[in-house]
Amino acid sequence: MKLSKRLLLCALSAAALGAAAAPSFAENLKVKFAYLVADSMLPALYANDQGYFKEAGIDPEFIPVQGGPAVVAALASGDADVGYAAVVPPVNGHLKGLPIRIFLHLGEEIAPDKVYVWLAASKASGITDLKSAKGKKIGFNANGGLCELAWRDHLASAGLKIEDVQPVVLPFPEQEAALEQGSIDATCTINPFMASISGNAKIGATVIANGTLADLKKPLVNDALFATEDWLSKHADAASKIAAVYDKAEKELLADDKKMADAAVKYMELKPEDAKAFRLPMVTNGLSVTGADIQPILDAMIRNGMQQGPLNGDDFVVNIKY
Amino acid sequence: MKSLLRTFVSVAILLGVWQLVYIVGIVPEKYFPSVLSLLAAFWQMLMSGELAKGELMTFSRAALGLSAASLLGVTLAILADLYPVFGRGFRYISDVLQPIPPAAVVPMAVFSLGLGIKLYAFVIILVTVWPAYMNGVAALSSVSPVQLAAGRSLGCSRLELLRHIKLPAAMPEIFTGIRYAATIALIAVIVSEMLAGRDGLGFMIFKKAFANRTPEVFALMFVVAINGVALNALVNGLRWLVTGWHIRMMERTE
Amino acid sequence: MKRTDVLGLSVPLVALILWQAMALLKHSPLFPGPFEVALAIGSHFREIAGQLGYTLMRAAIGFAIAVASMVPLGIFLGRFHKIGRLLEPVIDMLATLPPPAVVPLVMLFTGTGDAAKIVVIAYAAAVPLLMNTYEASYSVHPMMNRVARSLQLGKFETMLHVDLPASLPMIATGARLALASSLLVSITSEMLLSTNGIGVFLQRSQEYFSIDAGLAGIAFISLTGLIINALMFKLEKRWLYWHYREAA
Repeated sequence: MKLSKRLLLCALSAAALGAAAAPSFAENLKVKFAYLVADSMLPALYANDQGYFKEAGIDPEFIPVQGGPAVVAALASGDADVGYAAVVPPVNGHLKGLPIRIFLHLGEEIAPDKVYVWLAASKASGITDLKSAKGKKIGFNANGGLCELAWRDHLASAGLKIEDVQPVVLPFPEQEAALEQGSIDATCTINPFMASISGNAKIGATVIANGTLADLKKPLVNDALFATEDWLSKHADAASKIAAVYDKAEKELLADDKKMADAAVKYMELKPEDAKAFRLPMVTNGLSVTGADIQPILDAMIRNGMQQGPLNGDDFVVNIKY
Repeated sequence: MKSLLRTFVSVAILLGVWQLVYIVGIVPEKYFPSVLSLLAAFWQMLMSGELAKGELMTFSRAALGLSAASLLGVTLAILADLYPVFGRGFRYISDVLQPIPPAAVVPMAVFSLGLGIKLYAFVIILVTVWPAYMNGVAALSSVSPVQLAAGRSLGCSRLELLRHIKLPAAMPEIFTGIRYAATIALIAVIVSEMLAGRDGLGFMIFKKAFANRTPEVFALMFVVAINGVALNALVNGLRWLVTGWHIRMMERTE
Repeated sequence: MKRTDVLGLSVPLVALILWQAMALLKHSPLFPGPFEVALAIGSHFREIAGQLGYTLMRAAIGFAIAVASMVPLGIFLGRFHKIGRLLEPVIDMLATLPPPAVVPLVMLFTGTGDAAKIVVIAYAAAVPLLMNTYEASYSVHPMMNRVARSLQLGKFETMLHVDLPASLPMIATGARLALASSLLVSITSEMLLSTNGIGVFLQRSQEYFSIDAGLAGIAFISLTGLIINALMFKLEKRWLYWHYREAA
């Protein structure tokens, strides 16, 4: 009995350890990606299956995590090399003294059609525009994130403050049910959840605003890849290669709607009907990022009281050529 | 065998209650799917092999973590019993650490511990060590004085007293603690997996939720629940081995 | 209060010194030492204390509901052991569901307000209370049963006058665990469905990477837990003096 118990424990621990060890390729550079489960990561996952990273001499490992701050934490602990999230978490991290810089921007919003954030209200709430959201329960996915910024900025454009509404922090997947059942009156959401909400007749959703900021005449960076300064200085070439691979995969996906939908089903596990509504966010002037790209979002954070200024975009980025 | 049957009955009861709530229809089907769609989701995950992989990871982590934390808890309880100064001092630490919610400390721990094995060890031990320790201290200190006096008069040393009288007498209560720890060990593993995001049932729940796949999420919750029973069966088996005499003595006729 | 326990206090003191030393070695904003945390407590005192009220209120209500429902249920299941045995796996299954998985489900029925959080708290507190009460009631000494029978007590009277008092010491241990998990889950539920409470403060601190502020919040929670635990211990000593007298 004693022996078999020990054997069992032994086998269990071996199983736990065995699964953690991934195959490694001696000549390739191992890069661990910690990423938020969101749309712009799709090309990277697709590229990996096509073998594009391997061709570029990179051996990637992908670690999906729950939120932007967790991505930054993974980088800070040294358990990940490259992070993918919205721009706000790495900016906050950088301001807290973490040596993290953005090196590629993946998606940007431009009014009127290229928007990836929506403020939607249920019919039952009686909200028809931003002004009527006063005093209502509004949802967003996390404190200090892109959606909080969106609410603050849009409310400000209607002459309201965040104190004029009742914020409820709720993960994206739970928002639709909360809207339908009246637990919240309006919410800030992204796809695929927005597609599902707008297709739900019982909610009868009204989009009261879209885009992260009220003013989106100029493109606004939405999400980005970032890494520690240390990693970037050691592996500048790898950063360029990641950019090239990403660019190639993105172009392939954009050229073929079916490929895109299939990829959304495969990598984000979307239901096929949700995947049809999937649109990949893009950037107009290439993936390389400059301080000027980041500046509008920094200014918006300052304007809406989420950070204290002045902040200079150049301090947050590294420009990569590819 | 009998316990397997009882588990089966329990699952049936829970599924029945679920289906009843579904039929009553307080909550729209989209968010509260029928048992049938739960089963379909379960079957699909089973066939694709992802379920078995997640299950193996989660259960082995929970079993391993629980064993380590329980051993640690009992060891600390014994130390506290042998050295009252340590017992009093450690009480301060346990009082301070115990109320800390893992959900609060885990995201901050990631900064120092990363997303790997260190994180799991930290979280599981942080939350799982207390029931075994607390019940252990309480039980060791409340062993009947008559028994102790008997032991002393037979010439037992302090260690022998502990080994032959105190520990056996304390075992049932310690195991009650470990049984409770088993459930929270599983919770701790699931929460860590949700955060560390690589594999395991916790990760699957989070991934499916973000893909808007409600039946899969609830099917996974049932799987987690059944794991609770499995882990408890493991603890109960051990308990029977270690404290069989107590259970047999206490067996009553209704 | 007795005289100060110098030797006992030295243990946590050593732990604090070790922590500070590690923080000095690491020298990172992500690993603040006790000194930095103390500073953060100073600067966030008002905010934290203000939010703690909501957290405690919900924890207390949830705990009260759990005690009122689970102690009778536990005694009952212990006495009618056949039903207890049958339902054991059900309890085990329900006990293993983690709050992050339960919260979305509860939200479907109770919304995002206080009710949802209180339900989740009561749910979590129920587990140790039910387990300990059930266990204690089931293993009441056989002698007691004979006494009850010779006094010709009915089932209900036996439960009230024999099982309940005999189970109290173990229920108290369960209650202490339950109280701890009430507070714990109260905070967790605030982090998952946040409107107000100290959980929201913690979440904000994390999401802005203010680890020192987050630890300050945690220190507050610890202190609260400490006070509650001490009170509980006092009450236990007063109400269960017979148990302690016997053990002393």
